[in-house]
Amino acid sequence: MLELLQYDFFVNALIASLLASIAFGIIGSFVVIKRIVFISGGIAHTAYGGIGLGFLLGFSPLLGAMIFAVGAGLFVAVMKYSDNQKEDSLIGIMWSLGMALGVLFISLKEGYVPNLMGYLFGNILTIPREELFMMLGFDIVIVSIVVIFFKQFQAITFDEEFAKVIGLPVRSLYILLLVLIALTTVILIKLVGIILVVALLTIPATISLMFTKSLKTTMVYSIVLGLFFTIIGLLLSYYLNLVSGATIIMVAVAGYIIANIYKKIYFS
Amino acid sequence: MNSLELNNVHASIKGKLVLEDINLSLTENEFLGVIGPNGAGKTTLLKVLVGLIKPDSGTVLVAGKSIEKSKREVGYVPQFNTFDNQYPISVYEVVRMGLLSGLGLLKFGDKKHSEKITKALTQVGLQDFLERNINELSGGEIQRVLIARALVNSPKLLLLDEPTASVDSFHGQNFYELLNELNKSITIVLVSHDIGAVSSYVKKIACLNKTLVFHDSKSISKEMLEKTYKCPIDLIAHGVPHRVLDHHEH
Repeated sequence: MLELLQYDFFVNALIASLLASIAFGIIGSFVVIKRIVFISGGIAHTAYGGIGLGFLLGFSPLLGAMIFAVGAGLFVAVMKYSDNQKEDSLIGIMWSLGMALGVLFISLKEGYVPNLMGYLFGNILTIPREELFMMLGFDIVIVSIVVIFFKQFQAITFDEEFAKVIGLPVRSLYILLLVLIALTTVILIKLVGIILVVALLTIPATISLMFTKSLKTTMVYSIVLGLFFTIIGLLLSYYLNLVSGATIIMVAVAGYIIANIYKKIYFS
Repeated sequence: MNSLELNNVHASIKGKLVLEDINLSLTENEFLGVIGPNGAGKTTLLKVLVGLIKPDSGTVLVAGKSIEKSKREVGYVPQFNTFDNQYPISVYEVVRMGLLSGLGLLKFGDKKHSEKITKALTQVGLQDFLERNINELSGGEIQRVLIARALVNSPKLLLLDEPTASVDSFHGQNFYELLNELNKSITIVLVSHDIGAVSSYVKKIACLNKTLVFHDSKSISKEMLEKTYKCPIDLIAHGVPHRVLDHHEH
């Protein structure tokens, strides 16, 4: 197995797994306890429109993804605070609109069409070095914001109304959280792809919540579990010649099932 | 100085008038129970008192100050059963939430804060629960934690939304004895749809149904209730030992 470390692409994949695990471990914990999995899925899928636009106009697809994901996050925030009764339908529409735009933009692009499967289902073995720096940058942003505003985020995810009563800027904090979800989504695109983002946001955090009573430990456990799942998935996909993104998700789902059985046997 | 004063308060939700011409004044260490049917505007009234809803007209003063200036003087206790008890949070962290302000950062391990938190938890009898997780607690204990969170700023006014006394059996001290104890230094307003929940510990009772009928005494008459609930109500007090009503003819 050690001979794999001689390959740059494999080392890059390992570093990417670590950097991504930090982001989705922390943000996924908020997504799960605040129960905004659907919203996060919407943000992730809308990003596909940005990938298409990037290809069409010739700029970085990941930059496009980031712009669309952050835009989607802001749209969700506007929906939430506009007394709109159709919030979840509108998020569903945003979700499909983003995907449709992506497909449309790419079909408009003449000539060579790159392999888009990599963006939909991930391809961790093709992550170039400069994207690792982007991931590192996002990690630094995510970790510092969560460290600084940990108690505030805890307050708005636990009891939003009380947070309003004591005068916290609940709206700004919620928008900030959605933007962090958008950044995490972009980090995860190369790892498991847009379609599978939701799995890595939710599975490690959901397992962690079964075994811990504090938000901070939930985050730490999620990072460790996420890293474990991605590395096992990576190795399996390499040796068995399977697609990486889907294999990582399979490992994570297996982990979830095992955790449930373990909890049933030993904690009941 | 009155601890709470409402003058000609009108408030509406989505253009619909919910509170009409509410007038109320409470002196210090008053204990008011507001009763009314579902949809009578009880929640709106509380939201006006904590500043979540701005009244269309009229004034609200807490300890002589406007709501914006008196945020720290009002302790708000929401309904406990709406809580997601799967949330990974300790009792200490929940109470600490009451001390958060703006985006100002709490210093880590601030001794003053930790003393305030312990003091608030001691007041509700939960001083040994600091490290417990919220999902290990009973309904009554969670309710006490939420009261501690409201007490942590040493408020002058405590607002309770639909507190449930029935879930509480705690070291022999029941829920209303706790409120009665707190009432020695804090004005309390308790809102409930359940007349039985407004026990004899309440010093004054008001009936809310868009308008507020407030007599400066504890007695509620049959007329008062009928006006509020818009249907005849039997004033039968089954609730021994907590009698809601004075002895009466019916």
